[in-house]
Amino acid sequence: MSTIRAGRPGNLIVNAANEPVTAYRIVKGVHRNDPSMLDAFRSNCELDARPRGLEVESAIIHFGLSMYLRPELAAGTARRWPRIGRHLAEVRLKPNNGFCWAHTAQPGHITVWGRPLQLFACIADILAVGDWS
Amino acid sequence: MNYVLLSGTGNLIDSYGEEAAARAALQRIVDGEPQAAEDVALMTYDEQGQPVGDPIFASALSAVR
Repeated sequence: MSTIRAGRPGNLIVNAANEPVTAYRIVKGVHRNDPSMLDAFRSNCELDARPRGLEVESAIIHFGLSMYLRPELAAGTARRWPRIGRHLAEVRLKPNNGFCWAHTAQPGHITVWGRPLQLFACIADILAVGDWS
Repeated sequence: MNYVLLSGTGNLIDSYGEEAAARAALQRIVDGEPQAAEDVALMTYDEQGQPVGDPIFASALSAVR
């Protein structure tokens, strides 16, 4: 049985970002003006990727973005699958943008929902994966 | 351990508490969408959320059949 931490998708606890939350998104771009950067903040659904796995039965997963609460966790994933990206966008989710997030999958992983341009505007820094052990 | 299917976009596709179930799910995805073979990876994470080992792709599953 597939699992989503905090229960099956029907029991997923979704948090509104009423307080600032800092999260780390694996990105391919080296700096925020890189042409690929905005697409890095589009969900699989927005990228017209067909739903797979849990995305089929739970559209909320298809609409979400994977992020990590600690940079070393994101960096570890990126190092093992560099195709995803070799940099981390430090994203400071600010209140009043409609952002939501939930703990999903492994500890430290969250799914974030938000409009791409507003997420893009919340990039505080771009970090090289190699900066984290 | 947590067994997580990630897409090439870096986004979560699914997660499992058992490796066999995750491998079966990966195989089902690729059976229905062969072009996903290199676009979906099975990652393993420990209880602290740290990745363990290398990602597994469907091509590796076929190799051990």
